[in-house]
Amino acid sequence: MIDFTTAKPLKEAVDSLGKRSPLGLALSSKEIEGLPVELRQRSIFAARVESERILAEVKRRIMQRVKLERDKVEAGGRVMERGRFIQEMQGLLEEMGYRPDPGKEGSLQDLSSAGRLGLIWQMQLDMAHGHAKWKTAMNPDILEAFPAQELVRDFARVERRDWPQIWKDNGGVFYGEPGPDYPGAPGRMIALMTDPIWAKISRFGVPWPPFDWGSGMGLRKVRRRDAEKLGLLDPEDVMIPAESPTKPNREWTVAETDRGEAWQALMDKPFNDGMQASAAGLEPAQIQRTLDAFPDQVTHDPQANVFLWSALARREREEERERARFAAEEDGKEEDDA
Amino acid sequence: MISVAVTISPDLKIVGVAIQGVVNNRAGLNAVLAERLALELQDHFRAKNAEPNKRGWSKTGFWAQLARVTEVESVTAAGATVTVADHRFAIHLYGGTIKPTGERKFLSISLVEEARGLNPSSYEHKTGRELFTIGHVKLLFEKRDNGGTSSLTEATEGRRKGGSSIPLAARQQLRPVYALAREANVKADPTAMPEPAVLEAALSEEASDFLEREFRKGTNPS
Repeated sequence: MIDFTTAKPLKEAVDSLGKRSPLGLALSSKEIEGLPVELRQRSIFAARVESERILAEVKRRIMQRVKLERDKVEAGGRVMERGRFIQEMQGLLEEMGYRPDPGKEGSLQDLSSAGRLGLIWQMQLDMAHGHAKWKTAMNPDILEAFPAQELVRDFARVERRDWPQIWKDNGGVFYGEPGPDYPGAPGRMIALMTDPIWAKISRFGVPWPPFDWGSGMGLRKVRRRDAEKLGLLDPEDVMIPAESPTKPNREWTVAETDRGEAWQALMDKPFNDGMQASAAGLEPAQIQRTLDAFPDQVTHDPQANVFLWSALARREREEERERARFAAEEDGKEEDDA
Repeated sequence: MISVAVTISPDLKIVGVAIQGVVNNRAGLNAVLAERLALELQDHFRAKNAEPNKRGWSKTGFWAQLARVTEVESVTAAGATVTVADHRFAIHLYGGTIKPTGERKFLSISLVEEARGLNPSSYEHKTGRELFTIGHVKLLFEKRDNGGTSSLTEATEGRRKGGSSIPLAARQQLRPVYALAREANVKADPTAMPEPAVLEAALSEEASDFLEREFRKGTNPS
C-alpha cells in the first residue's frame, strides 16, 4: 500500500539541515564559492554574515519549517512561513543593532532587507530538500527505475541564465527535441542521475538544485524506459548509487550485491567527523583563508594536502576554552576571598 | 505469472497494490511505485504552476515549490509513503478556514502585489511607508501622493464595500495595502491533485516495467 500525506516532513531534509553548523564568515559569496564543497555542504552560512547567533536563528526557523512543526499551543500554534521568517529576522537584527552599510539599504547587501532574507529562506529550504531528493534517488530500486533526470525550469525569472550554454560548456549532451524552457537549445538537457555533469553545472558543486544563486532551474526524473529510448543506457545496464554527492559514478555496471552496500554506506556515513576535502589546486593564500574561515573545525595536512574537518577538534577546543574560563573565574574568586 | 493491480481511493490518500503471485523484492516494488506517484504529482504541480496568476500578478511559484517538496518519505516491504512536505498544501486540497493564531486578532490579506508574502511590518520596513487604519474600516492603508483610490470596493476586490465614512478627497491619497479579516474561508481546489484514473494508469505501467526488469535479472522467476 502506498500512502499519500501532507503532514510528514522529508526526513532526509531534516537530517541535511540539522547536521549543518552555523559558521560566521567575513567572506563574500564569490569567496565562499572558492571553499571546498565538502565544507560548504556541512555548514550554514551567508555571505559576509559573521554572527553565528544570527545564523543559528536562521537555522532554527528554517528547521521548524522543514520539520513542519508548529509553535506550542500556548505560543499560538503558528507554523513558520516566509513572511514570518522575514519579520522575525528583521526584528532580531534591529534588536542586535544591525545597520546596513550606507548606500546598501534595501539591496541584497542589506541583510535586513526582505529580498536578502527571502533569498536566504528559499536557498536554505531548496538546499535541504534538494539533498533529500538526491539521497532518495540513490535508493538502488528507485535509481534502477528512474536512472536519469532532466534540467527543467521550475520558476520563471526575468533574467534567465543561458543554461544550454552552461550545459554544453560542462560537457553535457542534448537529447531529443528541445523542451519548452529553451526552445532554441539543441535538445533536452538530460543525463544519468550519477553523471558528474550535475555537480559541474552547480555553482555550489553539488548535484541538486539550486544550481546558482536565485536560480529557478530544477530537476525532473526520467523513467528507465524513456532513458533507454533516448540512448542514455542499455536495458542490461545496472545503475549503482553515487558514493557521495561529490563522487559521482562514471561506471554504472557492477555486481548487483554491491549496489545495496554502497547505498547503505552512503546513508550511514557520518556527516562531520573525519571528513576530508582535497586542497589540490589551491594557492597557499586560499588555504590560509579557508583555515581562517573555519578556525575551530578545520586543519590542513600539508603532506596529503587535504583539509581535515573534525567535530571532535571543535569540541576539544570548546572544552579547553571552558576550562580556561572556569580557571579564570576561580582565580577571581580566590582574589576576592583574599 | 505475476500480476499487479493498482487502485486508488477516491480521496487519493491510499494507493492499493494487489499482487497475484510472489514478488521477491516487495520493498523495491513499493519504492518504485511511490517514486512514480511522486513524479506524477510533481508533473501535475508543475502544470498548475504554468497557469496564470488569478489576480494578474507575477507568479510566486507556489505549485512549483510544492513539486520541490514532493518526494518518497519512507519505504518498507509493507508499503511506502509519499509526502508533499508543505503545510500550505492541505488547505488547497481539503479547503478550510484560516484564523489568526497567537495574539493576533486579524489576518492580513495583501491587496497589492508589493505586499505579497510580507507581513505588514516587513512591508513597512521594505517600503519605508507607514501603514494605518481609519476608524473601523478593516483595511491597512498607506499614504500616496498619487495612486490612491476613489473606490474601496474596487481596490479591495470586493472585500470591502462602502467606506463612505472616508471622504473621497482623502481616499484619493490613500491606497489600501492589506485587508484585515477575522478569518478566511478557502474552498478546496478540485484540481489540486491529478485525476485518479491518470495515477492508476501511471502506477500500473510502472509496476509492469518493474516486474519485467525483475524477470530479466532473474531475481523474480515466474
